[in-house]
Parts: sequence; structure tokens; C-alpha cells
Amino acid sequence: MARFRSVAFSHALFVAPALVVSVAIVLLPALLTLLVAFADWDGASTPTFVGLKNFQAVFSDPVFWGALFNNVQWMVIFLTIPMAIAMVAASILMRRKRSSAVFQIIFLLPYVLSPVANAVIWQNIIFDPISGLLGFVSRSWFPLFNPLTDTRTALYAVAGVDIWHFWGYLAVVFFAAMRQTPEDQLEAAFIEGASGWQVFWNVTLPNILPTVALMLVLVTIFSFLTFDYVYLITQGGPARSTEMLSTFAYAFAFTSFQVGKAATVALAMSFFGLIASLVYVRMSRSEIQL
Amino acid sequence: MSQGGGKYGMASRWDSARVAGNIYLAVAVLIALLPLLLVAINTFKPHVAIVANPLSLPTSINFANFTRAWRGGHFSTGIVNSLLLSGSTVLITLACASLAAYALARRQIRGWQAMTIYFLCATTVPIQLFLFPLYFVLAKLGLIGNFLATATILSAINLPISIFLLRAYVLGIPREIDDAAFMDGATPWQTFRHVILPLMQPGLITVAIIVFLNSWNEFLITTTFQKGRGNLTMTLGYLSMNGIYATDQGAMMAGAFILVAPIIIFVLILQRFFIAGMSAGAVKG
Amino acid sequence: MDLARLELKNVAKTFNETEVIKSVNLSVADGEFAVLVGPSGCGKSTILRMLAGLEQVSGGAIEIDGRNVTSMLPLERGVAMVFQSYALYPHMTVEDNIGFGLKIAGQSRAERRPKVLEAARILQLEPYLARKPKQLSGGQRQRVAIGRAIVKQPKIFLFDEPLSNLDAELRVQMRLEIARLHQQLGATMIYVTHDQVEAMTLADKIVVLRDGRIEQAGPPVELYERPANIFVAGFIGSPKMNFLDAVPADGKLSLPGLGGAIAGSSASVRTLGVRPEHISITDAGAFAGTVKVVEQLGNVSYLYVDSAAGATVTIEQRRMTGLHAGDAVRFDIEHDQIHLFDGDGRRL
Repeated sequence: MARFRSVAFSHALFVAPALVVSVAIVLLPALLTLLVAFADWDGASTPTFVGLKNFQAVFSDPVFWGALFNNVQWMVIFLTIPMAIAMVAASILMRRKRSSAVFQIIFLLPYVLSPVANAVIWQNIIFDPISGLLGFVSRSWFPLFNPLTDTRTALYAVAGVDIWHFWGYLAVVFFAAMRQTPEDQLEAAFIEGASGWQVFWNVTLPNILPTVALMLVLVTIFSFLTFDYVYLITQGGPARSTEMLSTFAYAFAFTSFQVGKAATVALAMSFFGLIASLVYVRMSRSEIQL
Repeated sequence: MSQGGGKYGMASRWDSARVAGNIYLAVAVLIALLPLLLVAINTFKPHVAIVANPLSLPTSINFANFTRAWRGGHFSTGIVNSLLLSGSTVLITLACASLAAYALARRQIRGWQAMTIYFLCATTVPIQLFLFPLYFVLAKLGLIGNFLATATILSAINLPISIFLLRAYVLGIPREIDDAAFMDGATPWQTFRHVILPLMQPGLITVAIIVFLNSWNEFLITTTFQKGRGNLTMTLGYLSMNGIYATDQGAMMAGAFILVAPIIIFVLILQRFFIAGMSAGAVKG
Repeated sequence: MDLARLELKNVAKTFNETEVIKSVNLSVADGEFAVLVGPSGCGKSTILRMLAGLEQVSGGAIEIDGRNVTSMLPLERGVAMVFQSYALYPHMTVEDNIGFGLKIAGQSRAERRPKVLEAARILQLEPYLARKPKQLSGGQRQRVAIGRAIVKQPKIFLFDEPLSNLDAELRVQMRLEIARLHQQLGATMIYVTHDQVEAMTLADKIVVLRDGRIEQAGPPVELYERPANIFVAGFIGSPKMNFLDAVPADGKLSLPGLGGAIAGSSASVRTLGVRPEHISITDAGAFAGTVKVVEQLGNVSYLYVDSAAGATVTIEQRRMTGLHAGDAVRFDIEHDQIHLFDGDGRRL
């Protein structure tokens, strides 16, 4: 008897700090957000209940739908381009095991740098029409326009910077997953005369499918949360062409102090990622022995 | 004879697939490094030279840009703030996560399943979902700019992943060892402190490194909760230079260099841990 | 009468609504070596863990030296355990492994050292004190695990299948060491194994378990010569006892599988058991059969003989046999070495 009561009790104490921190900082404020979405609040005075007014205002605002559309575009872009680039790179690295460590760390460098560093560097030395590479090329050879100033291309330019930042991570993950493909399966395929592409398609890919699936889910989730690069490079402009749900919410909270509306947009953000999150939890359950 | 094609296939060094692969890798490396190389060469050039040709190599090495950048980005306070913030975050995260990982891995608590699922969900929660009320409440409490508060928030964000990473380590420790400690008369705390914690060491180091880097680079929470001149981290300090120093690209590049070089060195030295940590969190099956 | 060292009174265990241990009663005397043996899932490890204090008891009581220890911690009970995979602390030296319990009890290094050295001396571990477990062989690790138990000077030693992880040769060697240790220390030991050879060679008392119940408990010779039921009869002794259907007929026991009869009579008999060493090949034997398989081990041979009537019997012969597969043989059963069992498998 003595063991079990005290073990259970002690272990409950062990998990308490993490739970307290997480509940206090994430769960409770999240519940507050849920409540605040139904209220009018400027962050300082007491909130007043307004029912669904915030939802009506936000959902009838074309900027909201524009932002949502941007998030969806972002998702499509990130589910394809960086995944493909990383997959190809990882496959190539599989044939160059000895030098793979060097390549991996080079590819990883953009990923480990702060979004602030990356965004500011790209703004100043690449995109800037005066001091940047684009400006230089424009003046010296053929004119290039700054994609950040054009409403049709701004989003893709920002996405480009984030792709540059992110694909290295995918490459490392895919490479690690590929290396776990059982040697005997690869050998069997080669003995049967399969070409490199056939081996990839029939042996490697099925083996890394769980990892790929996980990455697809994570990218989907984070497409609706993406904030840093957009906020840093364009702040949602020009003319709201790069507005994302996250920057939209942030502006409501800290620029116009309409926290109720900010909460509404935050809920919308979470909603779209929610399905993918549930899929993620489901997928991970067996992995973590639940 | 065939050095290139790996173990399988007698591809010679010069077959087209291999060449194509090499070109792909070369382009990838170039694109990955180009912005950083531009920073490196332009750090030593005055603004005029940068505007004239950002691709040209510096004619002379002088550190004038660095001094201006250091002052302009308030890096003296910034570096202290960053160290304080990241250090505190690591300590808080490790303390909470190691204990929680042990308890959740051993499943002796009623409700362990619900807690584990909670933390699993927490890995994908958007910051905006809890950011706004949190800010305004802390503002009322006067905790904006308070390091411990910000460190705790950053911990809360890093806890879920840390818990799962460390939990995987604990699961690798056979339960029989817990039993042996019990037979030796150890209380759960003694078991944790003398037996489990030392065995978790590689995991603790990996988590510490990853959390340190994450909090060093972090933007959204830091910029929201560390408002106020003296509170800025290195990262934020550099950001404050943006726009103001548009006509002094030399300083901007030097600032980037100051910000980025230590991180690159840090990652290069500790690359094993990063790659291990990333793969562990993501590779399935 | 001596107070039993260990007493289990109606001890029961339920896991998730399944009764895993069904009301077990057992006495172990001071200094006795008791072996709990049985097939996988019989509950022997569960009982051991309940004795250790690692598992909660669902019903009944455990008494040590007359004290009810059912809700006490292992050190309070005075028990120490040697685990199947040794469960040594990988990051500690042998010396620290053995002394860990003493250290967290608050004893200083000066107090611990002599006790650890004494345990190391008994187990010949002195040269290894500064090594870590991964630098040790399987047998050495086993001894460190035992050392960890010895240093606590427990009233009862608990062994959980300690030899399962060793290779065959090492197993024999360690078995002898454990027997020697028992003689040297004179301590009460409870030993769990699925290997009946270990049981027969080490035990003062064997406890055969099946499905959470004690089938029989007693000295090895008693279980070997007077098994209480078919299960114990078949479990103890290798190769297994031969079992034949038996029907009383005309004042004798008819054995349809062998196409013959044997002297003896009992109204309720259904099965006859006879060990391979109690069947002998003789030209004038009462039963006939064909040798199917011959196993020669050098000092003994086993012949698997099919009788024309359908039954297969195992016959033991001393030393090498001249017989081969396919030979026709005749054999006799020693009629005072047979075991009779009724329809429920119980001994008659």
C-alpha cells in the first residue's frame, strides 16, 4: 500500500510545475480569448458583453477573407515547394553519405537563425532597391522590380524568404527518415534491377511516409499561424496584400485596441488549424505509446 | 573504381544523374549561403561601396561598421538581456519538463493520459490564441519587461516539445531500475534525483541547447513582452536599427554579422544535438 | 515449533478485474530455499513482487517473523530482491551500485565502505569495484545484483529468474554459486524460475504454480516421487513423464494405447503415469513397439517408441544405445513405479 499512494502523489507533484506553467500561460488565457471574442474590450477598462457582434464585424470584413485566402495560399505553397526541394535534396544526400554531414549543416543554417535576422538581411541586402542585390542587378543589367512593393507579388516574396528559411529543416528530417529505411529492402530492390527512381518510389517513399505525413500535417497547422516573416517584412502590406490572420489579429489587439475582434480572428486562426491538429494528435498517439 | 554511386549501382563518377545531383546540391548551397555571404563581405564596406556593388569584395578590413552597429543596436545591454532571458528560459523549462517527463513516462498518476494528450495538443497551439489576454493581464500586473515573466512564457511554449523529447529518454530507462531503487529504499524524489536524472543527461543537454536557441531567436513573445529600451534582447535591438540605419548599410550588415555569427558558431559546434533533436521530434516509424 | 520466516495467508491479487492470484497459502521456514516454479503466466513473478512490496496485495496478508508486513516498504519488511536483468544503475560504479541503498539512507562513505567491501568479498567482486556495469560480463553483473541485496542484510532474499539471461554454461556455474551462497549465508531465499532443473537442484521446497494457484508444495523428492496431480507430474522431471489412458479391467489395468495390461487395480483410475527411467527394454517385455527417434546424450539415451496400438512412450536407457530408428522393441513397465490419476487428474 505504502508504495503506491506515495508514488502516485509524488509523481503528481512532479508534473505539477509544468502543468501550472502551461495552464496559467496557455490554457487559461486561451479560455479568456474564447470569452473575450464575445466582448468589447480595449485591454484596460472592463470588457462589455456584445454577443456575436465581433464575429459579424470580422466575417463581413473583406480584409479577413483576404487574410484567410493568403493563409490558404501559404499552405498550398508550403505543402509543395519546400517539401519537394527538401525531398530531392535528401534523396541526393542518400547517395553521398560521407559528405552529407557538411551539406546538412549548411542547409540548416537559415533555419537556425532568428526570423529577425533573416527578414532584415533579406530586406536590406537582397530586396532593397538601393543597397540590395535586386537594386544592383536592376541598375547594372536589367530592371527588376521589388516584389515587396507590388500587391500581386508581395506575398510570394515573403513566402520565398520563409521557404529559404524552412526547407533545410525538412531536408534534415527527410534525410534522417530515409536513412532508417532497412538496408535489406534497398538491397533486394537493387538486385532486382530497379532504377534509382523506382527504388525511391517503391522502397524509400513508403518507408518515410509516416514522417512525410507528419510534416504535411505540421506545415498545414503552421500555415495558419505564420506571423514572424510577414510581420517583419511587410507588416501585412502593401495594401493588405500580405495580411495574414495572425497579423490581422495582432493589429486589432495592439494597434486599434479592439481586443474582442483580435480574439475573434485568433479563434478563426485556431479553428482552421484545429482539424489538422486533431489529425496530428491522432497520428502521434501510437508513436508516443499512448 | 566507382567512388560516386554509393554502394549500389556501378555508376561511374561522371554519369549524368550524379552530375545533376551535384549541380542541385551546389545551387542549394549557394542559395542557402548567399545572403549570409553577402552579409560577411559587406560588413567591412562603407555604405557607398555597398550601394555601388553589393557583390564586390571589401577593399580593406576595418571595424568602423561594427562600432556603430554595436552602439546603434544597443548590443551591450542586448547581449546581457538575451543571455538572461534565454538562460532563465532554459532553467525553467528543464526543471519543469524533466520532472513532468518522468512522471508521465511512468504513468503512475491517474489522468496521465489526459495530461499527455494536453501537452501533445499544446505543441500546435497558436501563440495568438493566448497572447492577447495574457498581455493585458500582465500589463495590469506591471510585469511587462519583467525577465522572469517573459522567460516563463517562453518556457510554457517550449515545454510540450521538451517534455516529449525527455519522455522518450525516460521510456528508454527500464522500469526495473525504478523498482531496484524502490527496493533500495529510495523515495520517488530520490529515485528521480540519483537515478533518472543522471541517465537523462544527453536528453537534458539536447533540450537545453534547442530551448536556448529558440528563445534567443524568438520574436513574437519577446517583442510583445519586452517593450522598453533597456529590456530589448540582441535580436530586438538589431530590429530597432532597421529603417533608421537604411542609409548606413555598413552598420546594418555589421549588426547582422554580430547577431548571426555567434549563432552560427554555436550551431556548428553543437550540430550533433540539433540534428538529433530535430530528427527525434519528427521522424516517425 | 519454530516461527515460520515467511507466511502467506490467503494472498490474492486482482489485475483489472481478473483474479490473477487466487488465495495462496504458503509457509517458508527460516533458512529455507523455496522455489516458485510454473509455466508463463502462472503468477510466480506476481507473488514474488507482492512479497517484495512492488505490487499491492488485493486480499490476504503477508507475515514475516509473525509481523503483518502487507503494507510495509521493502526495507521495513527486511526483504531484498535480485532482478532478472539485474537492474544495475548504469551510471554508477559497482561500489556505488552496491552501496546506493545505504547512501540514501544517510550513511556516510566511511560507514558504507566496510559493508560494501564485505559484500564484494563474499562475491569475489573486489577487483571490479571501480568499474561500471557495461564493463562487466553477465555473470559479474549478476553478482553485483546479488551484492546489492546482501549488503542490506535482509531477512529474505528474493530472486526473480536471475539466470534466464545467461547462456547455458554460465547458468550452470551461477546455479552452483547461488547454492553455495545459500549455504554460506544460511538465509531464507525465495527463488522464481520457469526452469524445473533449477528448481530441483536448488530448492529445499518447490512450489508448483498454475493459473494463480499452488498445485503442490514440498521437497523436490516428494514432488518427483509423489506428484499430487497430472500437472505437477508432467512439469517436474525431464523428459516428461509418460501418460497413458488406463481402464480397470479384469482385476488389472488395461492400457489401450499399448495394447496390453499391467498389474494393479483401482476403480476410478483414468490415467497412468510412468517415468522414462521406469520403462525398460527387454526381449521378453509385455508391450511392443517401433523406435521412432533416438536421442543419444552420451551418458544417457532417450528412445521415442510408437506402439502399434497408438501410444508413444519415452524410454530412458543408460549410456549409449545400440538401437536405431525403425527397430522393433519390447518393453516392460515397473509396476511399483506407476502413478495413477483419476478423471480430474488427481493422484490416487
